Amino acid sequence: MSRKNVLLIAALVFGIVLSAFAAGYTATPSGNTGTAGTAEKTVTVVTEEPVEITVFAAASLKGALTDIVNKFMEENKNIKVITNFAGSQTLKTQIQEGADVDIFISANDKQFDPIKDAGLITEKKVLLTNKLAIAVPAENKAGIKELGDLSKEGTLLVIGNKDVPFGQYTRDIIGKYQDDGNEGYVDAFMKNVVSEVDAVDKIKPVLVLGEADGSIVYKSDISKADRKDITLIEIPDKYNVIASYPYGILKANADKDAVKLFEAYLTGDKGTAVLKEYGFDVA
Amino acid sequence: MNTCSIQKTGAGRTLTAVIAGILIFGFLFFITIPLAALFTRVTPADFVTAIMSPAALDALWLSAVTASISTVIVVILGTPLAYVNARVAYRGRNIVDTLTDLPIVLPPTVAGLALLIAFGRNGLVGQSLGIFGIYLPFTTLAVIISQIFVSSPFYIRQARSSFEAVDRDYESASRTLGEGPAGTFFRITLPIAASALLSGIIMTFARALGEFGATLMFAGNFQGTTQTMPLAIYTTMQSDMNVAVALAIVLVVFSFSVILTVKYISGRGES
Repeated sequence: MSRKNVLLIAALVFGIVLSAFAAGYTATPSGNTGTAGTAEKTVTVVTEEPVEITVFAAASLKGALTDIVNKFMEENKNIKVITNFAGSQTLKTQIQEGADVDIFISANDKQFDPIKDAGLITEKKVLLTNKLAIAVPAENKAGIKELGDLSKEGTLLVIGNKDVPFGQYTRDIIGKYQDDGNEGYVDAFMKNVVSEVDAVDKIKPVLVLGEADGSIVYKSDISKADRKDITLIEIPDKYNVIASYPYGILKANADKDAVKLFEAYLTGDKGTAVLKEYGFDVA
Repeated sequence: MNTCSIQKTGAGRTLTAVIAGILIFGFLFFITIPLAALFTRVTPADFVTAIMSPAALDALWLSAVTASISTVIVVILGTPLAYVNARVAYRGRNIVDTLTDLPIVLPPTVAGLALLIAFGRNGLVGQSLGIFGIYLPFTTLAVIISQIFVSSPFYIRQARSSFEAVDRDYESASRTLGEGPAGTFFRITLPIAASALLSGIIMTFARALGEFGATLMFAGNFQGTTQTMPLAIYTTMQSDMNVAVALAIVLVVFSFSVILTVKYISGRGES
């Protein structure tokens, strides 16, 4: 019995050691990219072995980034890009808890900076900027035409909670609107809020079904397909919050070629074109 | 030859025992570790502070109230159905049984969406309710409706089988002795089935307490009105991890006690 146990444990340990060695070997070639001489060799290695890279991105980037990733993978068949879309807050927590990520794209600085401060990312760059707009059901039974209408009694609003970027920005916007000579606006607006959610995915269904009258969301969140059910109303720039999306490469994977290749694609002409198509502004 | 084969089976048995042992301990480890990990995340002092925070207290109170009301309604609405399905063989009984079981396997988002489309402002039933000024989505009532929808099968299934287990001779004897059907039910059937029914009630309460997805869709998420414990955990996870972990611990401890109680009750019922 005990001999069997020892054998089993030995087999297990052997397996772990073996896989560790295998992982070590696959990691080595991409590490040797220092000089131009080895660059050519590295490219051949990359084409031989399928490489996986993982991108954590704010939920609001889902449509655009999925498009970009698909196009990128079509051009680079040897690279598999794995994406994880969630609220930036959730992603930040996952990374802090040790998720293995190559690129992190946050919807605001608040969730990005702690990762940088912890030394997990060295360089912070801005990928794009985004504005907010009022979203109403296509029927717009409540007759909402501008910010002021959102405080009318009996208007049902579903907004982002104060811990997610678009929820913070919603509060900033209504604050600025109140300061512009609309006394009592914030209280009247907040009185109409019936639900506070963490992601826009939970707002769209209630707008489409006409169960809520309005919300304030990222312009880019309402895709072309959504626009037949949901109408966007612009918020003037003087009240609006221009959100910038920072991104960075995780230090541990900073020298992976596939990651560099993807970054170049994302910030290059092709990536930028897709981002613009989805309503983002590229800095 | 003979001894050789005996040795072989002996070795085989040992190997089986070892493999089974590894699988069993591996699984128990896998189940226990995440739950135990919750307890390592907060100090007792942090736990107390977190659980006394307004968001946590509101959620505890709202959860306790809504889950209690839901359970009472499930018992009132579910008992006659469970009894009839246990005693009367009618056409379509299997269909009715399947319907009442369905919420167990439905993804919570489906339940939430269905409730919204049925009882929402523009919903099938909701439209008519609106005429009387009754508006359900994003209200505490919507929380209760979601809980009833998802937790009722736990009571109805248990109630049906506990009524089936009651020996019909006792009921017949009661009827022969002049007791009416209602009297027989309350004085004979119900007391005999009581302990089994109680475990159904406890499971229903626990399920209602844990309800998340349908509530989020149909009732929304607003502290004090619709933010029950699971929703508060989900929300505070993004702002105050201590509160989330503290509430999670409360739910884990409570659920553990509930299931243990049910096992104790149903164990006693068998003897």
